[in-house]
Amino acid sequence: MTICDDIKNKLERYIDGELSENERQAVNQHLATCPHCSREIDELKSIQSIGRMTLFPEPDTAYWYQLRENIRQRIQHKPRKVVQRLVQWQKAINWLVPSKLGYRLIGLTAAAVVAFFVIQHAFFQKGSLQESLPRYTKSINRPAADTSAFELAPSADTIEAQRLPETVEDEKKIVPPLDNMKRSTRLNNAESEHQALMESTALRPITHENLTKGDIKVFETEFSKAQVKPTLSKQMPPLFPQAGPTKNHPIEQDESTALNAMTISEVSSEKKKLHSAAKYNWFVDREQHLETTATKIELWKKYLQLEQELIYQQKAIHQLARLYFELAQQQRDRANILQALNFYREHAALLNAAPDSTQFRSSLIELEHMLQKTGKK
Amino acid sequence: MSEEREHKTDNEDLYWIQQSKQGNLRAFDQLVVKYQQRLYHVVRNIVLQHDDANDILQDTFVKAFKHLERFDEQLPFYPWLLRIALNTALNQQAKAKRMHLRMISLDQHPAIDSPDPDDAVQHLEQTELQEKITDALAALPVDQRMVFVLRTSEELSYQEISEQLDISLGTVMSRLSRARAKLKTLLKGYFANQNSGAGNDDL
Repeated sequence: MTICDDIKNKLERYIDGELSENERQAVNQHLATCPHCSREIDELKSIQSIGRMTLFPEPDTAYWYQLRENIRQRIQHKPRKVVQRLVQWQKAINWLVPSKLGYRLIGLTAAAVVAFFVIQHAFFQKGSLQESLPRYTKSINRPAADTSAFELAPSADTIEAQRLPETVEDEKKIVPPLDNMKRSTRLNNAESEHQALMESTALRPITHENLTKGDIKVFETEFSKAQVKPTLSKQMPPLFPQAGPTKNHPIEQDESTALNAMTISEVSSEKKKLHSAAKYNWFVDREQHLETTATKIELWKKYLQLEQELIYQQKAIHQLARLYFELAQQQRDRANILQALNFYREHAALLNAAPDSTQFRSSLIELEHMLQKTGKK
Repeated sequence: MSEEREHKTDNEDLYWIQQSKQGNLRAFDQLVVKYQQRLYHVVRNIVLQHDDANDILQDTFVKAFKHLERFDEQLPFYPWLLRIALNTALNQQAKAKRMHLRMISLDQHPAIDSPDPDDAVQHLEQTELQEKITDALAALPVDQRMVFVLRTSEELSYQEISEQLDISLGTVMSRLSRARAKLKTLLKGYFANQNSGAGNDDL
C-alpha cells in the first residue's frame, strides 16, 4: 500500500509530463500491475480532457469585427480618460466639502486665481512687467545675427558685453506693442512687421466688424505655417484637366509622384493633418478652400486604393461622396458636377445602403438640379 | 502532448509591434486579429461568462497597446499578452466577487446560484455535458480554475504557469491538485456513467 500511496502522489505530475524519465518508467511499471492505480489514472485523464473540450460556442464573425472596432475606438479616444479623471476630482471635492457654501468658496477661489492670471498676463503683454525685469533678460532675446555688433568687445567678458549697449534692436523690444504697430511702417523687414501685427491682434478680441486687412494677413501667414496646405498639393497637377465626364478614374491620369509613393499610414496622417487644419477654416479664402477640398479628395482616393479592409473602403467611399458634393457646391463648374454625379451613380448601391443614405439622396437631387442650371447657361 | 513553444517573437509579429509602437493602429489591429480568438478561448474558460470575457479581452488589448514600450522584443508576444489578460481577469473577478458579496448582504439571500439572466440562454446553446462541466468549473475558485485551464487547455508546464502568474511551483501544484480533486467529486456521476459502460466500476 505504501508503494501505491507513493505512486498516487506522482500520478498528477505523471499525466502533466513533469516527472523525470526514471520516475515515469517506475509509474508505468506499477500501472501495468495495479488495477486500483490504473483506475485512478483513467479518472485523472478524463478530467484532463476537459481542457481540450469546447465548452462554449464560438462567437460569430460580427463579434470579432465589433471587438476590433471597440478596441480601436478605445485606443483612439483618450479624452474619455480626462472625463473620468474630472469625475474623480469632482468626487474628491464632494467628499471634502459637501455643503453648498463649499462649492461657492471653491468657485470664488478659482475665479480669483483666473482673474489674477488674466491681469498678470495683460500687464505682461503691455510691457510694464517686462520693464521691471533685469536688463539682461532682454538682451537674451536679441536675434543671433546682432551679436556681430559685439565682436569687438573683449571675448572673456561676453556676459558683460551682452548687458552693455542699447542697440536699436534692443530698443524695439522694450517699446509696448501698440507703439510697435506704428513703428512697423518704418521697418522694411517683413518678419518684424508680421511680429508687430501679431502682437497688436493679440490684444483685442477680433470680430467680423473690426477685422482689418492686417488681421487677415496675420491669419494667412499663421495658417500657412500650420500646414493647411500640405506640401504635396503644390506638386500636384490641376485636378480634372479635361472637362466633361470620364468613366475611368482620374487618378490614373494625373498620378503625381508624391502621392503615388505614399504608404497607407502616410496618407492617413496627411488626411488627419488636413482635417485638423480644416477646423480652423472659417477665415480661409475661397481659393484655398477649394484647394483643400481637392487635396482631400485626392488623399481619400489614394487611401481607397491602398485600403484592403472592406469596412474602411466603404467609409472612404462615403467620405468621397461628401467631398465631391462639397467641391461641386463650392465651384459650380460643369466638370465638377458631372464628376460628383458620376461618382454617385457608380457607387449608387453602396450609398443607398449607407446609414445616412437620405443625405446622399438629397445631395444627388441637388447635384442634378445644379447640372440643369449650368446647362441653361 | 505539449506542442513546441515559440521562444522568440516571430518576424511578422515583430514588424507589427514595431509599427504599433509608432502609433500605427492598423498594425496593432493585425495583432488583435491574430490573437483575439486564441485569447478569447482561454479567458472564456477562466471567467466562463461571455460578457466578462469580452470586457477582459478589450482591456487586455488596450493595455497592451499602451504599454507596448515595455514589451521585450526578444521574447514571444503571446505569453506577454496572456499575462496581461490573466492579471486583468483576476482583478475583474475579484471586483465581481466584492459586488456579489455586497448584493448578497443587501438582499439577505444566502446564495445566488445563477444571478445572470444570460445563463438561461447560454445553457440553451450548450449540451447537457458541456453544461455540467461548466457548472463544475464555476464551482472552483478562480485562481484554481485559472491554473487548471492553463495546464489542460493551454498546455503550459508548471514552470510556465508559475512565471505567468508569479506564484511558486508548489502553489501551482497544490492549486492544480485541489482543482482536480473538486472536479472529480463534482463530476463523479458523469464519469461513473461513462465507466459503467466498460463494466469495471466496483466502487
